[in-house]
Amino acid sequence: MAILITPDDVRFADLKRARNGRWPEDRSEEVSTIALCLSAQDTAEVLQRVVSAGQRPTIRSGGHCYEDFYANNPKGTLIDMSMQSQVSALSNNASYRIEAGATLGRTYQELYKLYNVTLPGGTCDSVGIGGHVTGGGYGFVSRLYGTTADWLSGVDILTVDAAGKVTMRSCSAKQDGDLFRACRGAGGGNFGLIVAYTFEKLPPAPQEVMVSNMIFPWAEMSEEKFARIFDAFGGYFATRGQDPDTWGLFGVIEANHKASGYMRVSAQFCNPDGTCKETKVLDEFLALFEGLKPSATVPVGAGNSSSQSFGPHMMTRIPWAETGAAGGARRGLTRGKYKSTCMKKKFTEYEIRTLFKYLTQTRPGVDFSRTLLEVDSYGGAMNRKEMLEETVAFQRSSIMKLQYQTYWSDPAEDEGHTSWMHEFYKEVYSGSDVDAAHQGTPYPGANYEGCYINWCDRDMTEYSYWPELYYGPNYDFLQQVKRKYDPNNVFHHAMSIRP
Amino acid sequence: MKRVTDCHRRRFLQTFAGATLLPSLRVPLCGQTFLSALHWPTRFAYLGAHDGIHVYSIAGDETFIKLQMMTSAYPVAMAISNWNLYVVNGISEFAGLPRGTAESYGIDAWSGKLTFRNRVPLSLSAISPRGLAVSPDGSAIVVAVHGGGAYNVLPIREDGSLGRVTGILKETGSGPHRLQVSAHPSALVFDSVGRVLGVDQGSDRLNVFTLRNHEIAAICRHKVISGSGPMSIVLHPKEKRFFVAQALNASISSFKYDPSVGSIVDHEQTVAAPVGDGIASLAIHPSGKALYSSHGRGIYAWRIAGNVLVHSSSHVENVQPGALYVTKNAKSLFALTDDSVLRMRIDAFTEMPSAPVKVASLCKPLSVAIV
Repeated sequence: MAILITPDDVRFADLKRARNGRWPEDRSEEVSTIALCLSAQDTAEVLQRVVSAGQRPTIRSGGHCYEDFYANNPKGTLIDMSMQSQVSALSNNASYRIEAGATLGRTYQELYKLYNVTLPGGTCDSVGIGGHVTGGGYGFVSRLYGTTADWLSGVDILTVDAAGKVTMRSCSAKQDGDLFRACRGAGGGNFGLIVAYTFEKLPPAPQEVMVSNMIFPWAEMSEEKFARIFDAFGGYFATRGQDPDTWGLFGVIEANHKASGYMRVSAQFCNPDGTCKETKVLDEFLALFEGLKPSATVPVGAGNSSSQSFGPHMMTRIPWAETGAAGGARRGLTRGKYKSTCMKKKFTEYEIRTLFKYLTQTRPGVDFSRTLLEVDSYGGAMNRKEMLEETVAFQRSSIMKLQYQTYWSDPAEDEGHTSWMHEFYKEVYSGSDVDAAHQGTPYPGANYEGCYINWCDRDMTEYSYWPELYYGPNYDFLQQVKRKYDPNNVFHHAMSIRP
Repeated sequence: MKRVTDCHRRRFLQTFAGATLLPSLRVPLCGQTFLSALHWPTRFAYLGAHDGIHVYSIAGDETFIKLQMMTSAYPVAMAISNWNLYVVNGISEFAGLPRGTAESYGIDAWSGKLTFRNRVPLSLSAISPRGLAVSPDGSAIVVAVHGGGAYNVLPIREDGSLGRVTGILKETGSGPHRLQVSAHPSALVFDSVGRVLGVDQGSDRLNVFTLRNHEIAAICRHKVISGSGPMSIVLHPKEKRFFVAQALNASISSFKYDPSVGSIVDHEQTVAAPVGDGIASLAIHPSGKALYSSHGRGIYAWRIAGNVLVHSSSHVENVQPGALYVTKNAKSLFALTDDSVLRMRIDAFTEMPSAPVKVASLCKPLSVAIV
């Protein structure tokens, strides 16, 4: 029996909020009911009741959506899946079932402890699996193993037919194969309500990883040094990083705004066999930055007694089980704005100059101390071209994925942060490498591969071609699936597949 | 908020100095009721077309004289209430999001000219809205969202402008025709109590809704002939029945309605239109004794005899009207065609329309309202 939380319930004020404190934007956008569903049957019953009443359902598993996709639902019902979080094995541990409300942290822990396997998913422990997997989620071991969607073999999903009747489907490559493929990369809230995922096989959990961080204080930064950091990082993943023996290396530039005081380049590494007996690859990568003189090379978790130096570079050996921990679900405390880019080549001089310009810029009344550009390494197993036909995640030639992030707490700073971010992003993609018709966007082509739907950005709908940025050549296919499985467009949000 | 007609009203009062009329006024001199009580000498027509809203004065001989043109995005439906014009823009995208919009305009009672008040987005996914009605108390509009399969309620503020959407009803349903893959609310009308009668072309369904606190809820659903595609609705002046034009099988049906509870009691009759299918529109004579319909390339007149609809011999062929409109004085029936507005005089005795006369040339008129 689902628990229905209405505005007269003391829990409503907290549970209605999104993790991003910007949503819902005002009271007129609030839902009228939050349904905490305890089982798939509960979920089906609630969904049927919502649809029959002419309400709009929106769905939350972890609640990490960057935009207002589930929180903006005037007088509708928010179906909360967080109570359905079981991670289990089916038939002789040969396949695994993960309920949509499980967080990545819980999933990693249980998959490791119970079955010694892992899901190559994202880096934020409290992200819900429901949206993450269907958006083609990736993380620290994805260069080694591919994306979460690549490993998916089945989806239990509630759809609403033309007559408004809710139906449970277990789709796979053999059953409702088009819907299954669409669920492998299209993102959440498009075709139905995902209840659980099945993975016939999952990769073994690495035994251990090596982690290293290099700190570059802004006080010691010059534009030339900044450019060399980005060039070294991008150059590596455009060349040496393509070799399979490097796929266990996941690098990140945390290009914090100058106001935060420092930038960081970090790396997590294990060899393809899941061990760190040999660290040559990581040493090679760290050596690229030696000449740039990071002020400190510190391991993850300052003060950790296990911090050690192995060979020429400082790095820390961490058992796999300690790399993930279930996170809480704090809602509404931090406001944020995000943008994304998939890059096929290393940074151009123009891009680096523009990044430097905005990351050192100040604006009256805007605190940039929690503003950053995160540059993730990409590629490796995620770029296996054979997955193009099996999934709708078309970004299979990228070497880096960029996430522009800015955080603040005071609503009075909303406009300052969002407009700055808008200008920043637009200018980065207005160089001579971007054709006239797609200025301001990383339109798929020689240099870019569009944007990542899991880091959704409603601003991009200002461009009529926004579906091409997120879905490349697959949008027509996704629209066909939409019309077939959700003919009344019951499931929709600002960036959902248009019928 | 400044009332747009203040200046003109003052001038009007000075001009007429209607001392004998003043005691009969129920409202202060600035009230709009005053204007209508005086039988305002000029009528105005508002025509929505692809390029905007065209404003005309209607001369004594019923010819149209162009006064103004306001830019408006695909004004597919409009309604007038209290010297305000409400418009629904039948678009599929606004500010990058999939939704239509609604607009409010003030009408200058003296000149008939429009002043733009505001434009508000419909709910997310409320694309290609098609129908619009104003509640009898003038407190809200309800929009039938054809493309998005939904109904939206928008409150009317004191100054006549529209507030943000307060009520959303998302419909599901389908029919056997290729145009019926999902629900398509097409048209709606209020009864005098304030309930909404709506027709759904996609799901072959008639609905009755209530409005409470500017929220909308269904209280009665009625299935019609599968694949018929109900598209237009008119309520009989006595409200005991209503008529529905079905676009996909070129027919008209009448239904018995109980206005005391908002219930569709019974299907009374279905008659086939003499010719064609396509856009189906209805208009009813204020007497409640004649009905006018368009199907495909013809306009037809019907006598309403009790609960029976009888096709009259009166008809007009080779026009393709998109909408019909009977004036309140029951003298004229207007029809919008691809490139013009046609006027047909309505015979005072027989209530049958005469041969049409073109009163205005306009490219693809979509909607009409006359005050």
